[in-house]
Amino acid sequence: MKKVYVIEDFCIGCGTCMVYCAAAHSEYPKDLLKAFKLSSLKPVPRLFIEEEEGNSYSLMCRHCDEPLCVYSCISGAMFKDNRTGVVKVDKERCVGCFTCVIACPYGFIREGSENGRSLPLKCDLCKDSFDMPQCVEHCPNEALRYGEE
Amino acid sequence: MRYVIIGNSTAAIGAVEGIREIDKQGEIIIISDEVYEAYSRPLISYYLSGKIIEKNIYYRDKNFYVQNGVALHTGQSNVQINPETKIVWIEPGSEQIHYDKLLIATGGKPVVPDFLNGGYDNVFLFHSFDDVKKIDDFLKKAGKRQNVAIIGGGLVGLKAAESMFFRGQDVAVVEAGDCLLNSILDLKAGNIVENYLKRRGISIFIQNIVEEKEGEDKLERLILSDGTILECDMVIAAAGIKPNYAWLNLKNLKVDKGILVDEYLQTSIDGIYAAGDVAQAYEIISGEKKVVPILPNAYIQGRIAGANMAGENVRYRGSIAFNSIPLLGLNIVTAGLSNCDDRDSEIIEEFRGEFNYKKFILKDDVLVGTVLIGDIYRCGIYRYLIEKKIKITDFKQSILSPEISWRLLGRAEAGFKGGTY
Repeated sequence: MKKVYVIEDFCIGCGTCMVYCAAAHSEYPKDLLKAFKLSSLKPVPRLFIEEEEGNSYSLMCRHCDEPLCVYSCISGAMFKDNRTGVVKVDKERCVGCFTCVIACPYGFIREGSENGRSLPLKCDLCKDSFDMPQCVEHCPNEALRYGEE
Repeated sequence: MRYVIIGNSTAAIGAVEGIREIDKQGEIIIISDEVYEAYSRPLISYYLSGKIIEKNIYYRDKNFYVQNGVALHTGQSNVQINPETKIVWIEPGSEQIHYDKLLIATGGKPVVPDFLNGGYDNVFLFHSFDDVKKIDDFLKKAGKRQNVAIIGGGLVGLKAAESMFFRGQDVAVVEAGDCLLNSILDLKAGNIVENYLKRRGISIFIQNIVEEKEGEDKLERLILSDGTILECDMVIAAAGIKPNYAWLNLKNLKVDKGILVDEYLQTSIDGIYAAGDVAQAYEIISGEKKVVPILPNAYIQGRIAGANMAGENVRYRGSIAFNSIPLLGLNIVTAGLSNCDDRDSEIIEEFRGEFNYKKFILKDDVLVGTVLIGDIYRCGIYRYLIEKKIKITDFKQSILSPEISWRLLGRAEAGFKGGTY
């Protein structure tokens, strides 16, 4: 399946991907300014920037073929979409226990909340609102690639 | 090919999904003592507290059984098996069913302390959907705030306490051990949880057992070791779970704490598999077979057993214990030997406030356990380090860093290569 890959030589850890990721999952997915200024909930990114010895990497959910978060989900809310391969949370069924947070070997699921209700936050490849993941779309250095491995 | 699965909870559903990855045609029969389609056992507390509606307690979509071609027989608690002829009877005298592969996925059974046996009509278990429905009925009929005594301060007891607290009841927890959640927390971490729950208004009695009881049809009063007199309108027994296999009574079935299974999750009887809370399978840290009764483990074992029943040879790589238990808004996660305080282990810990605690337990620079209370940011990485027994000598000092990174830690794994991950 198509996923987002970081090209390490180009990633400068600028954080633009984080900003657009947070906005894309906010109440105003298509308007950066409104997302950060008008959202009732603080926009939260689904990806992580890691730095190591001067190198940086933008990293997010791998939508694993054997997804431990899905296997570990106590409510059946976490699932892998058969058609797209995307690992997603059914918000209505999720009870916010965060078993997925400790199950993910990469630590790629954030513990979050919406309107006082605990919810795990993770990359969904922006499938709900966009054709192209917004981290990739807006990376100023073309350090993120959306495609097959 | 005919598969028979006894039990209809997480491991059984995992098995169906594992079988169907390989075999789309074979016949699958599930026999269950409960009357429901598979529901999530840990969600009974959420149901009781009113956090979820009934529809959402079910573990899979309504059409799961039809879609997967599963014949479900519910309300059957007298299953009989003859492993020599590979025959099961759903109930004594019923039509015999030949199986090719059989899975035992009957989970655990609550242990009820003797003093609660006596036919009291205000004593409840906290294990099944029916248990919480009974509690719900009782609360509705009572109509006023109830004094609820919960016997056992483990995972089940505290989730019961939480749901009764959410329902506005007066809750007291009685725990015989040194601290709350003592199967996964040591004294220090247990005390943090205790202080938090007390602060929120739940009474906790540690190192206490019920010495005396009063009441005829109803258990009305409990007298604890420290002399405390607990008036109770309701009592919930949450004193532990044991693997539910005694009913099987098969002479060649090897059992210890649970049903012993090999690396393919097959029992000592050819063609019979076991998975989930009833099974005793390989555990990674000890290197021995253990019952690790957590839901993720039940699903994964079920799934692997299912695939193997359908003819694959998938090795079970073993489990470690891990849990995430939010209690009244406090996040608590643990992995591995999280309650270990051996002399030969190294402890790295940090308090960042009264209810924010991190603890890492290492042996020879290998992480063997962790407890995180409050902030659980990227805790999955630690669980992974424990599971893979990765030596963390090079970055031991930075394990408390908030900038914990998978890249940094993953590097230490033998055979780890850069590039895509």
